[in-house]
Amino acid sequence: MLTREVEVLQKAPLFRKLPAGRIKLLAYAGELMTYEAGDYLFRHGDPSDAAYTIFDGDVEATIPGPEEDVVVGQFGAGEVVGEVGVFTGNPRSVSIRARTRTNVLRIPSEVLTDLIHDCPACAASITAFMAGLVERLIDRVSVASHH
Amino acid sequence: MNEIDPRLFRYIWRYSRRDQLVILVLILLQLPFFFATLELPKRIVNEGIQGGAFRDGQLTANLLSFSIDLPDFLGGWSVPVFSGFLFNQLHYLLVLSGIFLLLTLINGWFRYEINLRKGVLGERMMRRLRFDLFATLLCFRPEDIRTVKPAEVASMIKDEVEPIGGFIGDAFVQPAMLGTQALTALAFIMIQSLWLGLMAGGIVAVQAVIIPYLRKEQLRLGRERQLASRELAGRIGEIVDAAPAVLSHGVREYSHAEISQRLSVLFNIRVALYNRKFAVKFLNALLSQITPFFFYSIGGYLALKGSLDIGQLVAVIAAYRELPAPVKELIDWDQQAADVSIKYEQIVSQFSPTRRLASLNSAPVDLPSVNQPIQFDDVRVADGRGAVMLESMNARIARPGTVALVGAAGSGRDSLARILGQQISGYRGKVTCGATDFAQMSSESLGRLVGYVGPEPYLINATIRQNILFSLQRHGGQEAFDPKDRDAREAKRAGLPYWRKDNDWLDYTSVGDEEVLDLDSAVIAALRLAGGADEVYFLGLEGPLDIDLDHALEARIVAARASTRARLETSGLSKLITFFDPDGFNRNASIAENLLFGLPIGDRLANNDLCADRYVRSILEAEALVDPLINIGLRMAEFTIDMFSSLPPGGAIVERMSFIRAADMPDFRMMVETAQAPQGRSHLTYVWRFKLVALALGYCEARHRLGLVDDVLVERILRARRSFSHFLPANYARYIEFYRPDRVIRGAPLRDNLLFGRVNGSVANAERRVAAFLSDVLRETGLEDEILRIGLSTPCGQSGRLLTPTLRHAVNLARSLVKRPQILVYEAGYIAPNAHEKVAGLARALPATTIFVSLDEGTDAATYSTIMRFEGARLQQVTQPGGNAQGMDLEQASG
Repeated sequence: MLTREVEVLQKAPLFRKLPAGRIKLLAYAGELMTYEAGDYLFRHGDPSDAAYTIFDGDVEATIPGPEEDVVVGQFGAGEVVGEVGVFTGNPRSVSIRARTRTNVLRIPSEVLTDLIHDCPACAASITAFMAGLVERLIDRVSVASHH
Repeated sequence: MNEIDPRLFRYIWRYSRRDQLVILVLILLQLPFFFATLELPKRIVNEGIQGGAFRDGQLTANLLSFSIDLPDFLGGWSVPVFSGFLFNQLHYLLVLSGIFLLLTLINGWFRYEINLRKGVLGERMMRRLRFDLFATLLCFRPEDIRTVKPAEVASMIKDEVEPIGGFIGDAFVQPAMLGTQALTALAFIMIQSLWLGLMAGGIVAVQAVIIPYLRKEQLRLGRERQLASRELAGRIGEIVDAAPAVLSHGVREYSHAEISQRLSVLFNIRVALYNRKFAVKFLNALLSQITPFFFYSIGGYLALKGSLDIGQLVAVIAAYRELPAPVKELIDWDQQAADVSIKYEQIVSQFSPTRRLASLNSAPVDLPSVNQPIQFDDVRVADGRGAVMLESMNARIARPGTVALVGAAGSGRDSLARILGQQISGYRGKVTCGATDFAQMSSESLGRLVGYVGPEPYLINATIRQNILFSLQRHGGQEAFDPKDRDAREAKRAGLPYWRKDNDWLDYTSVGDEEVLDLDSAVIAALRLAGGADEVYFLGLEGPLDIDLDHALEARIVAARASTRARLETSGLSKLITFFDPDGFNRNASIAENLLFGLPIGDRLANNDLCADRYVRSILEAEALVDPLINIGLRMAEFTIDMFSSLPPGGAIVERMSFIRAADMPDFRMMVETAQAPQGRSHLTYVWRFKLVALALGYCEARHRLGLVDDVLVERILRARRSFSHFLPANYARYIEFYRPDRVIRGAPLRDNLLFGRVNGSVANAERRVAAFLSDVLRETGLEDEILRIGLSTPCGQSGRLLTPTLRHAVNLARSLVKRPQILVYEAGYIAPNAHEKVAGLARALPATTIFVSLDEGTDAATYSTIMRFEGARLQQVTQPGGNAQGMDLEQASG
């Protein structure tokens, strides 16, 4: 039952510390999707309606540039993309495009928000992860400004 | 359409005179019978019971003899007409009683007939009143109708008219019937005894004078109470709205005091009301009880004295019973008449526009020829408060051509567009086109001349096709009256139009010149021009195929299926599709879908009820599927309980994901617990097993991913699939469309029919890719128009809610294009991004049409043949990029 999905989710940093029952719930509530190379998971400005856990394949994040899109990051198996928009509620700040054929588990935003509402342990673990993210960002910004 | 008479009684009399008179005649015809029912008891008592007819030892008496008696001054002769029958006393009594029974029946029939006619009359008049109100509404000028609140008007026409309708039947009939009855009874009493008559009359008179007087006060108090409670409600609402302010300023005490005071006012009114109400009741009861007291005492005294016989006394008492009720009802009627008249006047006053549009039956005018210019002479618009919306302007616009109305939103450009589009009719000056004055044209003729596309698309709750053809529904009223048609007869009697909504209303002359017209082609052409065809194409791909598909089309679809498949394989898109494979198990479909291998039609075999069907159950049992399905059901229930029972009910996850509704959860928990006990399976009740099987039938491996379907089960399901279709009873054929490679699946989308499968939802963008692929196939097979036709049958929903905003606007535009107007007014800022291309496209397709487009300031309008620039309410400049400016005219006009 959902073993593969549970395995991947347990490795994803965002979900790693969630109670086992909730991970199973996410695995079940998510939707398995396949994207061909070049397909967009979402585009800059779209409403943030889901987070994506990458099962296999590679995706890249781009932002609109003056001429063409600028690649700002790459993600691979086990990583989660699109979660920040879900939590802020703002439209997508980047576009995510599949570089190869990519299988993902699409987790609708209301499932994630419900998870935070109903499960304090989940809320704590997700907050910790997001805080870590912010910390790393600050480090990078300060390193960049020193240069 | 005439204006509605502001006075209720005149309105009623004018339109229902004939029916009212018939009823009044019936009332008069009834009177002799009514009188006879009063008279007969006297004879029954005096002659039949007391034996008055058998005095002097007669054993028989004559009954029913009839003769014509001439008065004395004509000689006093008596001409016997019928000699009557002889009866002994018992038979005499029985015959008299029998006649009494007969009279009662006759009176009953009269009442029935009168009441029935009265009811029908009231309903007929209410129908007319409602229609008149509605028709008046559509005679409002567009600028007036926009100020009307739809909900209010609808409730006025529907609800507030109801009590008036109830009263209309009574308006003339009730006083006539009650009055004549009361007078007859009173006259009868007088004939028996003048004194008793005077007394009864006196008491009735007291009743008729005092009670209305007391009641008037009661009504006034009632109204006061209504006002006070309405104010109270309003005030409470207000305080609740202002609660944050009340709390932040600490003025709660004051609010308490205020509400308490209002409650006390209500209380006092209620007490006064009770005083009145029960006083009136008491008086009423007293008066009706006290009269019999007089009758018994004084009447008895007269009888003892011999000036009144017992029969008369009994008859008088019986007759008096007929008196107080009519009098009371007359008083009620009077009250009701006053109430209803006020209500009526209020409603009608709401429907009295200051200015009205030309009436419906004004003759259609010949349209001007397409190249006659439009002339604006001293045209000026002011709003309701006198603010100038468009300063006096003169201009002459050559036709055909494209005209850009450039200005800020709310400037004169909007007023001008709306004058042309019939949205403003209260303007000064003249707009003419050749000899045709816009203001003199009926709204129907203008509708043929001008197509107006406003910023707000008004779509009706119908299909896209019906919405587009909406603008052509002008031609239904030419049907001859058919006297055999009951509805038409009744409508005519009520003074309403008798033609029917389901006639062919379409005005084909506007659509084109061809003799035999394919309407759908015209609609599709208009939609293509309006830019909505692509979306309708997608809707068509998903729209269900008609159940009554014609055979030629069916053959074409089946033929296209094979080539579609081949091309899917070569293009590599076939992996996006799950094909319908009679010998394969589809993991993207539920167990039920795999079992049926067809599309259920109607509810009988639809998912929820599938397992309730006896035939389905027999197949499941025969193929030994029940136990495996119960297993799956139990596993699903276990999973659900394990997963969701810790979550609060009502969350998004539970709502969307749970197999089991929250209410059924305890039941399933019990099933799981029972099944888990040793030998537990055998303790599952029949109903439980049934529920578990139903749960399992909804399981879809690809979606739910619980790994519950193994190869053994797949084999069994496939075998059950074959027996299901093989043994299907003949009467089930209409409940399912099997997937057969050589047959069309009716009720399924054309897309599924062509693919003979479904697009795999788990591959991103698959639907779009397949749709793009299919459009090539369809173009080659000539099925593209069929798709659009199916798409045109898509329902738009209330106000077009089911369509995307873009499609709503396209449908709105297509609605104006399909009638090929001479003048198209496009007042829509939203076309901005590609406005020029779009307008150029429209101009190419409709070369005879003059297109007015309102554009924002600063828009480049060089491609238009005429540009009218507005500064606020003022027309600043008219230029013709190809020709010269009309500066002179303008100076003159605005100077």
